[in-house]
This record gives sequence, structure tokens and C-alpha cells, in this order.
Amino acid sequence: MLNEKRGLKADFTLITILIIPIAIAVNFIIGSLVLTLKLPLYLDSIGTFLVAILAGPWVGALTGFLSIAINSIADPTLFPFSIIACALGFIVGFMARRKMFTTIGRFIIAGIITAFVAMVMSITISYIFYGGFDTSGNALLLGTMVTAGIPFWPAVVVINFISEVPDKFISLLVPYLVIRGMSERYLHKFSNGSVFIDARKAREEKKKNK
Amino acid sequence: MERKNQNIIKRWNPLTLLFLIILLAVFSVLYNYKVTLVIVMIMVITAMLAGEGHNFLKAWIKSIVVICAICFVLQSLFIPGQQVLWEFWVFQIKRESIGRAIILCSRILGVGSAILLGAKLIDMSSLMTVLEKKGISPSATYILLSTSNIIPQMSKKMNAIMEAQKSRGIETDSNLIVRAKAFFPAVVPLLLNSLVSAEERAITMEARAFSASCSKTKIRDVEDAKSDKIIRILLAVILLLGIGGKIWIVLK
Repeated sequence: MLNEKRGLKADFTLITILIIPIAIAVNFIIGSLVLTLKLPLYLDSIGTFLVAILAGPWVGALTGFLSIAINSIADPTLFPFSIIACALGFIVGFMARRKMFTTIGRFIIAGIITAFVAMVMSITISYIFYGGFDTSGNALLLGTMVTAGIPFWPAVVVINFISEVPDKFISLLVPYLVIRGMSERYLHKFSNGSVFIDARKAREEKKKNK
Repeated sequence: MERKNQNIIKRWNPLTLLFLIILLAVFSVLYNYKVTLVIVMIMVITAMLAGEGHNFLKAWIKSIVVICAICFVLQSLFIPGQQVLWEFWVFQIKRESIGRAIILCSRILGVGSAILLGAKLIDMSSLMTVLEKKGISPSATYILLSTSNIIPQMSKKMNAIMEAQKSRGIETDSNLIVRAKAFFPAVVPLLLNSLVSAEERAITMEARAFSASCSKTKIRDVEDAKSDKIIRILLAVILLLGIGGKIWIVLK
């Protein structure tokens, strides 16, 4: 039985409800793992993207929003950025439904779109709420560049490009690899599962025909 | 029965406390920094009355004050402006930037302290019980409640995975490339592991009729006294008056 029903209500099955808290926790734990490994990235949306790819845009949006909102108990300046996480969760879920995560070529296009949206939104939100200088490490870098005489906007774009593009690519790559290794039995439980199962079948048939 | 032994603030219904927190946060966003300072004082007093004064202040200084300080320094140094107040080396502090920094920090201070106070005062599980009674779906309350339980569990799991991978020879404290290589072997087992545990949870919840559509009984009941209802109405009125007052000031 394939789960073919889609839409706001049909997306929230029992297993997706159970997986949302887990995804939020994954975001949180990987975020702190990245800190202990001292990697120059955030990678705090791997859980969100995983859920979004598996369970569609609405679940992705909710997970993204809640994940940052809960994080902002510790750092309230993060709260405005929950809008970005929400939008990215939605976009990734939507793209997954349109079969954008079934081949490596499409994956790269999806990654570029995600990174671009993330960059534009993060610049906008940071500018609206904090005049460009939020409390992340980026702000310090930006301040240094501005004081060194580099104009504000080019500096912002360069910094956000450097920080967002690799970050979003790796954040999407991990779920992509995990889903490739997931059993069909498990994929069936999610509303986007059939997309990946169909892609897998098509790939196997191609191999046979060769 | 339990609640009679508790102090004056903790005896309140969690929903009433939530109303109070929202009221304080909204007021500090709407009005200027002087009001925010008063509100923060009110929060500290509330925390003390609830017997959480020490805890609250400790967490408050560690998180909110530090963030505000960082924010204030960055804003006042880098936001552009004309009127230079103070100058040293390559940095300039301008009147406009100080103004912006004060507004921003006052908001962060108000909202951040309110959230922190809420986290210290409100017992999440009883708040969720009350919200469920008011008609919010059990799925929503489950998501919020279980997140706070799962994080420490998963953090333990992550440590176990890291230890295991270290014993297999993965290095975690060398140069950047080596550290980056340690990332995938740590994360992939964590993700697969937690997906499997989600399935186990699903079976467990199903066995306890989580998605049954009939009405369910609760093992714990949260008292909603008449005084709570009156306080809530009062708080709502004050909130409306505050918003109205702000609109009036803006229009004037």
C-alpha cells in the first residue's frame, strides 16, 4: 500500500508526528557536534531537511520553525531566523515532492536553489532586524571588513555566500545519502516515500535493460 | 493537593503564567528601554517570589546579558551614522548607532528575559495538559513535550557513537580536514539510529491508542481555580490597554 494522499492534513501521519521532535533534536545535537569538531559551518538544519524530504513541505516548514524557535530560548536573537528555517523546510519538501532529490544532477540544482534562497533570506532578515550585525560570528567578520573600507553590501554578499553555500550543500547531502540507504519498507511510511521508491525501481530497470 | 504547599506564583495555573509572560514580552517590545528595565525588575521579583530567583539570575546573566552586551558592542561600532561621539583607532561610536543599539538591546532583553522566566516558572507537562484541555490537538502537545525529552537522550547516543568511532581510530582533534572527515561517520549512525527509534516509538504509541479518536482520560489534572480565571482576564485587559496606549502614542 503506497501512501498516495498528499496535502496539509495527510502529511501529518503518526510517524511524521513522531519524527518531528527527533528531527529537532538531530538539528540541535549536530549543531553542537559541529561546535565540538570546530568546523566553520552551522549544519543545524540536517534534521529539518531530512524530514522535509521524507514528509513534504508542511512538515518541513513546521520542523524548521520549531527547531529555531526552541533554540532561541537560549539565544533570543535567533528567533527572527526561524522564518528562514521555515521557508527552507517548505522549499526542500516541495522540491523533494517534484523528484528533485532522486538523482545527483537534480540534487545539485536543488542545492543551488536552497543555498540561494537561504542566502537572500538571511541577508534580508539580518538587515531588517539587526542592520546586518546580528550576534553570529559573521557579524564580527562583516564589521572587520566594513572598517577595513570594503562597502557594506558587497561584504555582506560575500560573507553570506561563503557561509551559506557549503553549509546548505552538506546539510542536504547527509539526508540524501541517508535516504539512499533507507529500506523501502521504511520509506513507505512517509508521504514522499513513493517518489524515492519509484526512482529506485526506474534505476534498477535501466540497469537490467543495459 | 500538591499545589497548596507551593508558593504564591507557582500555585498559579500554567496558562495564567503563560499570559503573564506574553504580557511582559509584548510590553517590552512596544515601549522604550525605560519600560523594559522596569519590566525586567518585575520579572526578577516574580522569579524571587516563585523561589527561582537564584536560578533565574544565574541563567539570565549567562545568556541574556552576554548576548545583549555582544549585540550592543557590534551595533554601536558598526551601524553607520553621522554624529561621532567617540573615536579610537579605526573605530567610531556614533549617536545614531548608540540609539539603534539601545532599542535593539532593550527588545532582546525584554523578550529574552520573558522567555527565560517562562522556562523557569512554567512546568511544561502541566501547561500541555491545560492546553490539551482547551482543545489543542494531542499531536501538537506531543511534539513540543517530547522534544525536550529527546534532546538529552540523543546527546547520550551521540557521545556513545563518538566514543565508538574514536576507538575505531577516527580522529576528532587534528587539522580541519581530519575533523571534517570525522563528521559523516558520527552523523549517519545517529540519523539511522533515531529513525529506527521513531518506528519503535510509533508502535509503542499505537499500542497505547495515541491516534484513537475517542476522548481520553488523563492521569494528571491541573487545577484551574476561579482566581486564575480572574487574573487571566485582568492580564488580557492590561495587554489590550497597553497595545491601545501604544497606538494612541503613535497616532498622536
